[in-house]
Amino acid sequence: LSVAGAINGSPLAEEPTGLALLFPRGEDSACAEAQRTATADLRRAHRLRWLMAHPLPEQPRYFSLAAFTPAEEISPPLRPRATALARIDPRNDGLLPFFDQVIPGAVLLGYANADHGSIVTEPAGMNAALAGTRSELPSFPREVLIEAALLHIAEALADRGVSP
Amino acid sequence: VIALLGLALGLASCATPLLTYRSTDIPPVQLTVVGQPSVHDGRARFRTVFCELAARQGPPGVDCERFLVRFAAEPVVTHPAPLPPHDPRMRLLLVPGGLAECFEDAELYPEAVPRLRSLGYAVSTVRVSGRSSSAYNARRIAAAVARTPPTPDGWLVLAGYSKGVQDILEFLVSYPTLAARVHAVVSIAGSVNGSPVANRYTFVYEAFANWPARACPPGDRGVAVDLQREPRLNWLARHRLPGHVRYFSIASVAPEEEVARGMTPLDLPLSYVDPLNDGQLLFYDQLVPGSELLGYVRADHWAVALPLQERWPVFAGNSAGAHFPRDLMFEAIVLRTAEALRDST
Repeated sequence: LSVAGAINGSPLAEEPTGLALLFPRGEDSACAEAQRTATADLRRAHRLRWLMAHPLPEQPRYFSLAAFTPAEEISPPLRPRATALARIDPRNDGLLPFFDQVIPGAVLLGYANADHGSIVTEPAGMNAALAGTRSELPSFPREVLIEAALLHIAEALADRGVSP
Repeated sequence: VIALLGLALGLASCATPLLTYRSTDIPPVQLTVVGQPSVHDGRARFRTVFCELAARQGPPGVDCERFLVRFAAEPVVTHPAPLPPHDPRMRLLLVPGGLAECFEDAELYPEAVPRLRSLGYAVSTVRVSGRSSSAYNARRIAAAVARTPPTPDGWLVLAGYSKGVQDILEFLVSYPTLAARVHAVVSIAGSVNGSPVANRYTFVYEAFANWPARACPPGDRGVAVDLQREPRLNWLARHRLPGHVRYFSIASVAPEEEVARGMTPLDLPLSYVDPLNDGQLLFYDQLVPGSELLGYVRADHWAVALPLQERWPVFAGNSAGAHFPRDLMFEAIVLRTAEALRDST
């Protein structure tokens, strides 16, 4: 199950403009250096070359749950990134355009009306560089969403006769 | 309108693009509606055909490697098959792009068409409405196909350029009885998924939409809206292309300095979305679902099919002084299409 997966990478992982938006305060956070290393792996060209070179195995079933939300519902720290991405496509979650989030060959479960952080976690638990304050974020029923996704997957596997 | 256009251009030019990759960094990518068939890779064979043809009859010094852009992961052929022969059993109907009717100079392949006719091909151009929607033009194409003599021993091929491609696709779906006569469709820089440029600048077209122009009847005035992303992708989501037709796609991309001066206002916002574009369309929006990808040519959106650079040297010329051998490319497309149709029968 891919949830807001960076399948095709993100335009924000590119030097220099994207990274400046991802790390507006430079190297001042404890994680920043490691995150910068990770961004090389998130560049779109790198991810697409990887996908071309590695057809995915047929055996697991793939499910994708993507996310995007209107600009006014993006949490404040993600807004400058969402604005930059909106010039590529307004349907983005603050880190990824909607069309970059689907695994090839996957069952598309849908698009959650959420930004990249709020689809999976409480803002308080997020990295300070990514999170907004809780009161500023739209509430999103992420527990219900993930449970529905798991129910769907269980149903799909049971229909195929896949035993645990 | 001029003030609004100026403002839009100003805003477009002040943002630094996020994406800066080159064609060799990235494999061919298709933006497709979920459920549509994927494109298959025919680049290696088309490169052989194009380069062989260029060596035989191109002007001296034609560098096919320059004109056929390499994207990542292009297959390599170690023992290429020879150049296929011409096959005049193939009948070609050309479908021009949006607004072509409005400009006499916007003539598709003015050198290749007479040459193909001299080789025995039947080639004609469908007179579609320059300012109309694809649904409107589908009717024109249907009438042209209905008038075309049947091809019991040959093939009927529709070759569309730019918006002409989406006109053809609408024809295939809306007129299935006539579509049954079609064997193949070639998309040349086709606006298959529409263009973000149309989303941005439709207001400019709308401001002039009611202006009378003798050479440019208004039709249903739907050309600009119909080139937007959402109508095209929604159309593709609602319709399945007929399976009996073979589809071929060739896309165009040009470096910024090789884009026509007249296209610069369109190229700036487009380059922000993706640096690999032809001044009007992104590389990943030009592929027909389920088609054979022939390749990517190094030409802007006009140079790939129209003689505008020769006829409007300032407006359609580019700062690098680059030219593209469009007629040679078109002949290579005809050769590859005929070869594929022969193989499939």
